[in-house]
Amino acid sequence: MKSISITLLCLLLSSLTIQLDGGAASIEDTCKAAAAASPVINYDFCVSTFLGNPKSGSADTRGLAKIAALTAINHASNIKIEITDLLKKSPDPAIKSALNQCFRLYDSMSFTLANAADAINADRDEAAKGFLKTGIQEAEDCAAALEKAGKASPLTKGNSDSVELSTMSLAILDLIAKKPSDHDDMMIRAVLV
Amino acid sequence: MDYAPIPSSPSSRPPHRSLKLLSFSLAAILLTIVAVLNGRYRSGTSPEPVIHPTSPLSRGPSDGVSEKTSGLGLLRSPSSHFPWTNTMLQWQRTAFHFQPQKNWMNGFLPSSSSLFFLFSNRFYRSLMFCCLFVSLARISMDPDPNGPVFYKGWYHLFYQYNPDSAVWGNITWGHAVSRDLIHWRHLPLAMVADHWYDLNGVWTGSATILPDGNLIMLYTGSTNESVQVQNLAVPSDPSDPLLLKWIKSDANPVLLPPPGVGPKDFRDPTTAWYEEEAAAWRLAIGTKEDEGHSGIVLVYQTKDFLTYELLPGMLHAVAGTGMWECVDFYPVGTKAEDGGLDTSVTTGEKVKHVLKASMDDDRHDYYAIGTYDSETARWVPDDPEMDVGIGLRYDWGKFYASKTFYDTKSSRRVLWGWIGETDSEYADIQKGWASLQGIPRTVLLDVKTGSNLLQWPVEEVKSLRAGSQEFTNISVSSGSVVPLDVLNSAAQLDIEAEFEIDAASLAETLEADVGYNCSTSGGANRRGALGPFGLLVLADPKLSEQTAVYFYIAKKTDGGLQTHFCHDEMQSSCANDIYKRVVGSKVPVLDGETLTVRILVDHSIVESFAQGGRTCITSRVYPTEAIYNSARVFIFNNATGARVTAKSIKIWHMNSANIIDSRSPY
Repeated sequence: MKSISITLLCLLLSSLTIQLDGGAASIEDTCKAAAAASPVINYDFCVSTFLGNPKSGSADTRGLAKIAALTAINHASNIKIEITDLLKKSPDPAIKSALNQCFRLYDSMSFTLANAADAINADRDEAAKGFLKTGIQEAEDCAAALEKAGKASPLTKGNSDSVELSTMSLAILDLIAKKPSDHDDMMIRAVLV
Repeated sequence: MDYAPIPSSPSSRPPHRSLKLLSFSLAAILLTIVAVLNGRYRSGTSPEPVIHPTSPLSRGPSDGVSEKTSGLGLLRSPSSHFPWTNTMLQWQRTAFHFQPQKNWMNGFLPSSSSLFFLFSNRFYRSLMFCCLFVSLARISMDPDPNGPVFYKGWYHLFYQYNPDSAVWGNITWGHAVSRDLIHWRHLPLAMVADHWYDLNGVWTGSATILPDGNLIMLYTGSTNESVQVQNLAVPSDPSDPLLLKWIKSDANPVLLPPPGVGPKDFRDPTTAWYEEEAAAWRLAIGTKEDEGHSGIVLVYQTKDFLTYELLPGMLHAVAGTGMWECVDFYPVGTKAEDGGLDTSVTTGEKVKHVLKASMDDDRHDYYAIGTYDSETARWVPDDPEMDVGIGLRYDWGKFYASKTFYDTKSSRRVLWGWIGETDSEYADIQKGWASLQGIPRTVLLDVKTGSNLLQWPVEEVKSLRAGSQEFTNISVSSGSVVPLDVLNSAAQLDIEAEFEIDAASLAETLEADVGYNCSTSGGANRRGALGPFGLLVLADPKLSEQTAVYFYIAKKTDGGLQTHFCHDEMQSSCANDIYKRVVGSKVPVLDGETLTVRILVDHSIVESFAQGGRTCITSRVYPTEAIYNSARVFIFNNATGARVTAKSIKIWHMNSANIIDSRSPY
């Protein structure tokens, strides 16, 4: 019983502090908190990512986590195109093989991150975090494959951006764990679809 | 005719195991506690329709779909989405709506069936990827309509397009042309993000035709620093009726956010209208003002579209409605014979003005009818209680970012709207596309009521009608379902139906039912004295899936009647990873009128228009059983105290309007 009352007390206290928030989450505050939570996340990159999406303006914290995941999906599509171009230019079979592996990884990542976005929508945060971690692993596996092929990776920035976007989504979900009030805003997320 | 009783509950997926039920209950209790403690609700938003969470809260991979069932390769992570098959997903593509092109790959343009086979089969994917054509699988999403215009014999539609992904991003202007608003030809991208002032996106804009017949386009660019600015673009060759290429003005950006307006709150310029008195053009841009969380509209005046003057004050504002996107502002005639009006018609008692905006907060499009005063550049609603953002919507379902244009060929005002998906992100990635445009609609003032618009599918839609059936005077007793013997597939239909409820039932003293609201009503299975009744479309023979389009007549305390018109999507699909809602609104029914509805069914989209277009609803539905030859149509009457007569139901099968891709080499 004691642990339940403590939990309820914590929820009560955090909900009281959250009363001060408006409906939409502040991009700057969210990015500040996310950057503080993870060394992978750069504040400016985080802010500019959200500013680049017109839906961020009215999104709550959960909505921002979803936008980060969707941005990562779009980024994965861009990387696939980049890989296609690189494959045309590169004669080296070792690099080609690594690039093909990267293509498969980024293709899979689109589905992984789509699962993450759907899980975020459904308030299945633990599942979402699992998918995001898998997405991060897929980018890291690509980086490792290219490193093994021995040449300087042409996808370094692409891979690190991918990791950063997925990490942003993860970190923001962790912020929500401390702010249960956002559970009320399922309506907003639903219509963001 | 078989009069079968309505099944009391739909067939559903196998029941949850008790452990899942327990964890769901515990989570629900905890959430309820949190909600009670918090007690915070957003202000200023209209009550949201009931959204049923489609997946239970704690469904782990062991309960989810096996990888084999979904046909996914081992590279993909386990998930708990519905096991969509390629057959089901392919069926969802519409036949006569404008939607983004299908996937294509370097070197060949496969049919969609081979494409899905290739993507679903791991061996073939590996083969493709290691070989010559590492695929440039282009998947796409297609939201907001932009710059619709009729120019030199062609209807043009531009649209926000991501050529690379089925999620938002890399926004460019897609482009397509048509002779008849129905048969489209894709053209190359009209504009891409290639200047600092639109580097983060070539966003929404509008076309204005000048008196000399020339065309200018004003659009919002998101700059390299994500500031929203307005830019001018003109056709590089005005004599080219296809308007293939565009030049962006050297003067760009021509408009920056003015003082007091946030850099992220300044977008979607309207078509300009000409003011005789001022001998200048005016256009409107929506924004917001933080203090009252008001949506507001600014008006700019210009003679050359290069330099602008911000007029003092605002065209209009409504407190509590938040940011207004995709503002539209246009005149409507007040007499039946008026037809559509050119945007520049401003004066006269015979003209009203419609102000419309897309509410960023609740993702719905609202309009209001009022009066515009040129001298003060102000607009006032006829009924402040039905003001923009708090009153009528163009459409009570899935419909956003809409925009009208004046069609000079047929002298009518035509409305385009973006219809998004209500399925999962996963399914969108799997099927490779997302979003479409609603069927274009003509817009007129309803001169009989004077207080709402009438929207109706453009006449050209009828050119797709092929083979009709008519059913007349079908009496549907209380609590029954009548199957209609629709020949061939019922996935592409144009239906016109007329209903009458028996006079005796209406006259009886029944309890008032003032609280009825489509969204909270519980849908087609919640029985009242005088409703629900209507049609079930995309229904399989067992009725395990059905989309209900229905009327509900409620008695008011003064004994009068209030008719509601709704879509019930709750049983539209057995899948549980999609959004299913009951949506709709009241519909005015005048003395002597029967109840009429027109329904366009086109695979995963159902659009209906009640009472000649007074109340319109768009639903996206994703059936798993009621597809291909299993789709049927039924009439139903779930009223407890009334017999309903379907006086006439005409059903046309609709041909497909194949979209031609002029970008492909084949």
